[in-house]
Amino acid sequence: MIRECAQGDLEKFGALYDIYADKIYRYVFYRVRHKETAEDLVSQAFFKALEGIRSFNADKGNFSAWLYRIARNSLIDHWRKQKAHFNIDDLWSVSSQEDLESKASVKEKIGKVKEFLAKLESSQREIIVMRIWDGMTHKEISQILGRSEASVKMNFSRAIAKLRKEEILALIAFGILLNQII
Amino acid sequence: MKLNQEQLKKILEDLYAVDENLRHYEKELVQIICDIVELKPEVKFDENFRLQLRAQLMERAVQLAQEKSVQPAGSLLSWKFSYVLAGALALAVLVFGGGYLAQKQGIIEFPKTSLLEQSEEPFAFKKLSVSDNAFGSLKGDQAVTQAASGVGGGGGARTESGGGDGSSSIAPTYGLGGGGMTYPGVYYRYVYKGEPLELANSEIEVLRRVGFDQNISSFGSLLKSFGLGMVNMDSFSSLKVQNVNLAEDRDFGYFISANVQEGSVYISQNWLKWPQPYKLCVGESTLCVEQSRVKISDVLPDSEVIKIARDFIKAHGINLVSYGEPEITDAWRVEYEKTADKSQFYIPESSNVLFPLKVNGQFVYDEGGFKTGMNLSVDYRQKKVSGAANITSQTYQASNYPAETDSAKILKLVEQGGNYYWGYPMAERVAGSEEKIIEVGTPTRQYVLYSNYSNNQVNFLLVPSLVFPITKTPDDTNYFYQKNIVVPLARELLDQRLVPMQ
Repeated sequence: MIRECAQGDLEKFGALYDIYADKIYRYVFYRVRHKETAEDLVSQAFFKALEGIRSFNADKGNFSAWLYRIARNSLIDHWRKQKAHFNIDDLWSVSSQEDLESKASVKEKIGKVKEFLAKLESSQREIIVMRIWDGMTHKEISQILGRSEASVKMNFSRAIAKLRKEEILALIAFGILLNQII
Repeated sequence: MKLNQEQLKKILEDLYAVDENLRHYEKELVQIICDIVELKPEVKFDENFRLQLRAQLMERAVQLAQEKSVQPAGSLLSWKFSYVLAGALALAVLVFGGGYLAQKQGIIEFPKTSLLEQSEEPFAFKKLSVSDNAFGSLKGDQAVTQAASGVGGGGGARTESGGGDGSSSIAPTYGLGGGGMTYPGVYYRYVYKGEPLELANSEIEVLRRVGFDQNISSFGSLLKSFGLGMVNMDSFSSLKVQNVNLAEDRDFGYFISANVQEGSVYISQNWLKWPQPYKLCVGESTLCVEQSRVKISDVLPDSEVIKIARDFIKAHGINLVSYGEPEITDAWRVEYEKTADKSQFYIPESSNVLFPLKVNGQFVYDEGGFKTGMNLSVDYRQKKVSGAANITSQTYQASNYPAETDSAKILKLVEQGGNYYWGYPMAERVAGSEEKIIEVGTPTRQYVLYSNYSNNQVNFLLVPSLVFPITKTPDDTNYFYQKNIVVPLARELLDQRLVPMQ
């Protein structure tokens, strides 16, 4: 199907969309936590994929990773645009409204979580989310991030090992924070 | 969100591969991984947005495909069916027009006509928004519509499994009595077991399929040819093409029937050109017929049936842009399995392959809750497609209608068995009837095809509806083939169906 689509049979793109739409949406939403923004970025990603699928070589690449990479690039573009008026250290203030209640309940843990997060590299956070939440293999993650599979495995392992050493409270708070910042 | 054991094991193995020492902390690692999984938020992609984006992408896909531009014409066998409606007209004119038809080595060639040049991809979904309630009453002219519903609403063949009128495939909710008598039959009670319904929109967009309004004068001087020299065609005015019938004059040829007004094409065997299995039995005993019947060993595997169907579609350039993956819809197979004396079982000559129609990313169901779409018959003996029905234009007008937002009303119809009860009073149970519980699950939003008659014409309407899957039937329920219950979201249709028919 992917090969036919890449060869110009674009009617197959609808079927590809059906397969990947939910996954790509989740991937994007976990990272922006805002419905309209996520929808906008998903649109951008799929339109870019449609326009570019004829250049995709099914013999050489993994379609899923290719699509995720497009979505990730859309996210990076989005963050770059936001940066001028977006303080990355002030993430609590931009979380989605749905979490207001739970946010209040974890407020006291913020200080500890910030301290904890400072110990974890952003790339490690991303790999954890991709591996456990998005259900990707190390190979897929490596293709999306443009890194070696061994490096991804190593980072994942280190991140988990680091988490193990922390208190459960910190872990829970970390997870809640992940929901809102990644 | 849960992580299954296999996924968990894989993650742990990955970790141990990097650092064998972590194996000593497996319990803690499992806890950490499970905690992270538990914290994963449940995210739901907005269904309306998903469908809207899909439609936009497919529109763009069609534009991109057209940039490559397909060149029509060539032999009839390579003729793209995406041009079939326009092409059929052109060919008809050419055949009757004599002198315009060029024949080379028995293959018909026809030049590009102005009509072919005009034609766009009729199989790609196109929508033209019109004013609210533009199609009048969705019920149409009720008396005529109800009469017509029993024969499938005209036009293309019905596509659900089992063939023929779907109502016969479901045991009636009440036994039907003759001469006003009613005997206590089986009473099916439908019980909803799904999630609470979300009915946010007060309006729905109903689609009406539109065909082609082709003025015959566009053929210029060829107009006279339709009279075959016996009638002065100039004496008629404002002529429009409605139907075109063509026959393929070769072995295993086809009849092609195009209903231009309704925007549909129907293909069937040209019987004169196909072998007739029972021909040799004329004048012989019934034993000859019995021996000539299709046997279970003649039935082709599903994969082969699908391949034959796909080859036909490819050979004739039928565009699948609006169709989902093919499904075999042979209801007889279920019957066959249940039959004790299989030697007496009648096996049909062909298998049915349904290419389910998808509009705006949603499947289209018929009123009985079966998917509908393009239906191909694959002949077991000849291993060829013997017919193709419901090849339809995907150009629609779209109009907003009031939607039902009261979930109680929706569920009331579900409990009555849904949309599916032409002619049967559902509100009361006949004394002494046997009750059987049918469980119904959370619905999905799909389209349902309704055909009604209004202003002396047939309207093919796609009405947003809830399709409730039947999740459980009693073990001893034989001959209960209903898979889904359909409830229209259009308030007018829902209200009509909630009132028991007299």
